[in-house]
Amino acid sequence: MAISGRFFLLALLAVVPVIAAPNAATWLVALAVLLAVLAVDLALAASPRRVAVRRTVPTGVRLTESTTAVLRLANESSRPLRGQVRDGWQPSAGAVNALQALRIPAGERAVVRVALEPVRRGDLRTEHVTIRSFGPLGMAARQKTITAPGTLRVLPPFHAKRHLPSKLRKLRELDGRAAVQIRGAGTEFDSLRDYVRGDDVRSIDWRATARRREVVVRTWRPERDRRVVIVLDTSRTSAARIGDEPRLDTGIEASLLLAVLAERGGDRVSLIAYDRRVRARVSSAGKGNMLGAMVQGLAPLQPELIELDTAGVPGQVRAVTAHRALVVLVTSLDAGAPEEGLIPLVARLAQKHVVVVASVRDPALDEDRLERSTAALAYRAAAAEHALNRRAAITAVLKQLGAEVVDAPPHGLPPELADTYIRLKAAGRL
Amino acid sequence: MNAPVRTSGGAAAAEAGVFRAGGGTGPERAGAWWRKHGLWVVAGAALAAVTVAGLLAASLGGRSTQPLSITNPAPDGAQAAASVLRGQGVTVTATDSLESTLKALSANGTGATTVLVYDPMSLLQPGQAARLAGSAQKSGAALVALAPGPLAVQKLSPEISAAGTAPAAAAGSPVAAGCSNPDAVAAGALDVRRVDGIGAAGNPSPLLYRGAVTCFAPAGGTAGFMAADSSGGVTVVGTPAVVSNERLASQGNAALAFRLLGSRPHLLWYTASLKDVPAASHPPTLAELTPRWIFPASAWLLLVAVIGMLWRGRRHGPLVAEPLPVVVKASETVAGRARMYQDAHAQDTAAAALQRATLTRLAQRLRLGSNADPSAVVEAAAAHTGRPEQQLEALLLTDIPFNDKQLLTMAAQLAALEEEVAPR
Repeated sequence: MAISGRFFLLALLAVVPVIAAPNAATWLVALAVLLAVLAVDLALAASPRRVAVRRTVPTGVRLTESTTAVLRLANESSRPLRGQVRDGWQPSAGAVNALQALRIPAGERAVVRVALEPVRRGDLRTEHVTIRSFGPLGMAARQKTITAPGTLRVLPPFHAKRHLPSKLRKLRELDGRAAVQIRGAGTEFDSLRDYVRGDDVRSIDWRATARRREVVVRTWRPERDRRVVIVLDTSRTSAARIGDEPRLDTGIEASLLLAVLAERGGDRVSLIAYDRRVRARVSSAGKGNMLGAMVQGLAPLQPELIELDTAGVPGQVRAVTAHRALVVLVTSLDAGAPEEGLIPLVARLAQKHVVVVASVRDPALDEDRLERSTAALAYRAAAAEHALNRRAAITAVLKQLGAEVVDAPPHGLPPELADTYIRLKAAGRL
Repeated sequence: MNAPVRTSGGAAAAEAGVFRAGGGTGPERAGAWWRKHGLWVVAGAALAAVTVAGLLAASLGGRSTQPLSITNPAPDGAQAAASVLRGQGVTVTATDSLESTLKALSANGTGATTVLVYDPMSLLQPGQAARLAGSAQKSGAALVALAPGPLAVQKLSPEISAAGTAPAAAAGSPVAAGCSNPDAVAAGALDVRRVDGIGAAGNPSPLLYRGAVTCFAPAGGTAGFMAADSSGGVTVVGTPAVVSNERLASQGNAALAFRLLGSRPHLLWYTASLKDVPAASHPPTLAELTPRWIFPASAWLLLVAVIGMLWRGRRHGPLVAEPLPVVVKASETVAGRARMYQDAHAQDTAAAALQRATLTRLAQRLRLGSNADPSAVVEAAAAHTGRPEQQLEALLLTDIPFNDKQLLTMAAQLAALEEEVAPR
C-alpha cells in the first residue's frame, strides 16, 4: 500500500473544519472521511498482482555508451491500471528513468523504455519490477513487487581502439600490402617481382635475375598462422587501481588491442583469464567474430582476492597449443614474491615459447620519487625508489631469461604491447 | 504490437520470459506474510502488552509519592500509621479538599471522627481554617493539625498560637513530654528529627506552639512541639514527621500518633491541595488562554505529519544492492612503506634505496650498462661533472644519514647530481 501527495493535501485541508468546529466529533468525522477515501480508492484500484512483465534487455553495450531496456507490461485485470512502475536496476546500471508513470487500459499492454547509462563494466542486474496502482481518486495505491530478473552485459570500453589504425598500418607495411617493401620484414619467402627503383639492392635475387633479362627482387612476408596466447592475470594484484582504473581493466584494453592486431596479422589468438581457475577462455580457432567473443568473455571479469597460481599457467598454455607460441603474460611485476612466482614461470615458459611480460607501471611512483622537499616526502621518495629498484631488478632477471618486458603507464601499455608484438613479428621471432 | 493487444484471461499460463507476481492463493500469501513479518508482529504485541500491563499495575497499585500520604510506603509517607490504625478498627479516609472533608465529617455523625489536617504548601486561607475548626467543633470531632501556619493556627483554636521554628540544636535529640496531657505523658518522649521531603514549603524545620496545654518543650523554652486547647478538641503538632514511616517507631512517636488519631472510629486524613484554592484567585491557565481549536488542530496536524512521512517514506520496491568489486589504490604500499621508514627512523635504509636508484640511472645515462661496478659509475660521474671523486663517492656510496635533516639534504643532493648528469 502507498498513499499519494494528493491524499496528504486532503488530510492537510481537513484541518480547516477541525479549526472551524473544534470538538472531538469533527476530528473523528474528518478521520473517518480520510479512512473512507483510502478504503474506496484501494478497493477500486486495479490489482498490480495481475500484471504480466516481459523483459527485453540488449545483449551487450560498451561502457560509456547508453542503451535502452524495454519492459512490456500486460494489464490482465478488468480495471484500467493507473500508477507508476519502477525497474529495479542496480545503481551502476545508471537507469535514468527507472520510475515512470503508467497508464494501461484493462486487458491491454504497454511498453516502458528505461534508458540505461552504465558506469561499470560487467554483468549488471535488475531483480524486480515494482508496480504501484492508484485508485480512481489518485489518493491511495496498491503496490506489488514482481520478481523479474534481467542482466545487462556491459562490455569493456576498448579505448585502445584508437591505436588500431596506426598499428595496422605498421603491420601491413610488414605484410607487403603497403607500397613500401622492406627487406628483412619477415622470414617467409613470398614472391619474385621486377626491380623498381627504390628497392633495396640487397634483396635482388641474382639467380632469378640470371635466368631472365630483368633484374628480379625477392619479396618477403612475415610468418602467418603463428599462435599468440594471452594470459590475463585476474588475481589479487589486478585489483590495484593505477591512474583511474584497476590494473585488470588496463590489462583487458591491452589484450583486446593485441588480439585484434594479431588476428588481422594472420595469427591465431587465444586468451586465458586465470588466477587459480580459468575465468575466461577465448580462442580464434573457431569461426566468427573473435573480437565480439573476446569482449563478451572479458566483460564479467572481476579481480579475485587470491594469489596467482603460477604453477598452473604452463598447463593452461599447453592446453591451448602444443606448438611454439608467443605467450603474453599480462600481470604485475611487483607481486609479493616474484622469485617463487613470476620468475620460475617465465623461465619455464621461455624454454619453449617466446614470452612477453606486460605490466602496468604506476605513474605516481615516478612523481613520488622526484618530490623531495620535506622529510616525509623524502621517505616517500625512498619508498618509491625502492619499489622502482625492485621492478628494475625483476625486469633485468626476466630479460636475462629471454623474455620481453613491457612496463608502461596505463595509457601507454596497449600501444607499447602492440609495438612489441609488431617488432617480434618483424624480427621473425614468432 | 502496434495496436494494444487484448489478452485472453486463461491463456496466461507459464510462458517463457513472462514474469508474474508469485505467492499463489490468498491463504498462501497470508502464510508467507506471516512468516516474513510474524516475528515483528509478535515482538511488537509483546512490547505493547508489557507497557500496558506496567501502566495498569502502576495506576491500580494506588501508590502515591506525596509526603505523608497514607498510600505512600516510602520513608516520607504515612502508610504505616494508616495501616496500623486500620488494623485497630479505625476507618482511615484520605481527603484532598476542604469540601470533601466537611462532607465526610458531617456524614460520620457526631463525636465519631478525628480530622488530621496537613497543609504542606500553606494553601488554606485563614477563613477556610476557621470553617474547618467550626465544623469540627459542631460535630464534636477531634482536630489534629500537623505544622499549621501562624495565621491558620489562630483560626483553628484561639487558645493556641505559633511560636516560631525550633532552634536547630533542639531538633536533634528526643524531647520529653513535660506536661499533663495524657497523650503526651503516655508517649514520654518525642523524636523530633526531621525527614527529607516533609515540612512546610520553604521551612522544613519543626514548628513550636503555645497553647492551653504546651508539651514537648525543648530545653530552656516555653513553647513546645505540641499544643492543645483546653477542651482537648484541637491539637497542634509541630513536627509532621512524627507520623511518617521513617520516625513512627522511634521514641514515643507511635504512642502519640495512635493516641491522637485512633481515639475515634473514623479518621479523616485531610491533605490540603490545589482544589482548596478559590477559583477566583487562580491565575489563568494556559488552556484558558489558548483558543479552543489549538489542541484538536495541532493533534490533527500531528496526524497529517505522520501521513506525510508515510507518503514520502514509502519506497518503490525493495532496495537494490550494488556489488562493489575490490579496488585498491596501488600507491598504498608505497605510502605504507614510507610511513614505516619514517616511524622506524630508518634513514639508512631509505638513503640506500635513494643511492642505489641514482647509481642505476647514472650508469644508464653514462652508458656503463646495468651491471656496472659502483666505483666505475662514481669515477665516470666525477669525470662528467668535474666534481671531486671523494665527494661523489661519499654521496653515492658511503654516506649514512643519522637524522631526517641529513636524509633530506642527501636526497636533494642526489636529485641535483642526476639533474647535472642528465643528457641535454
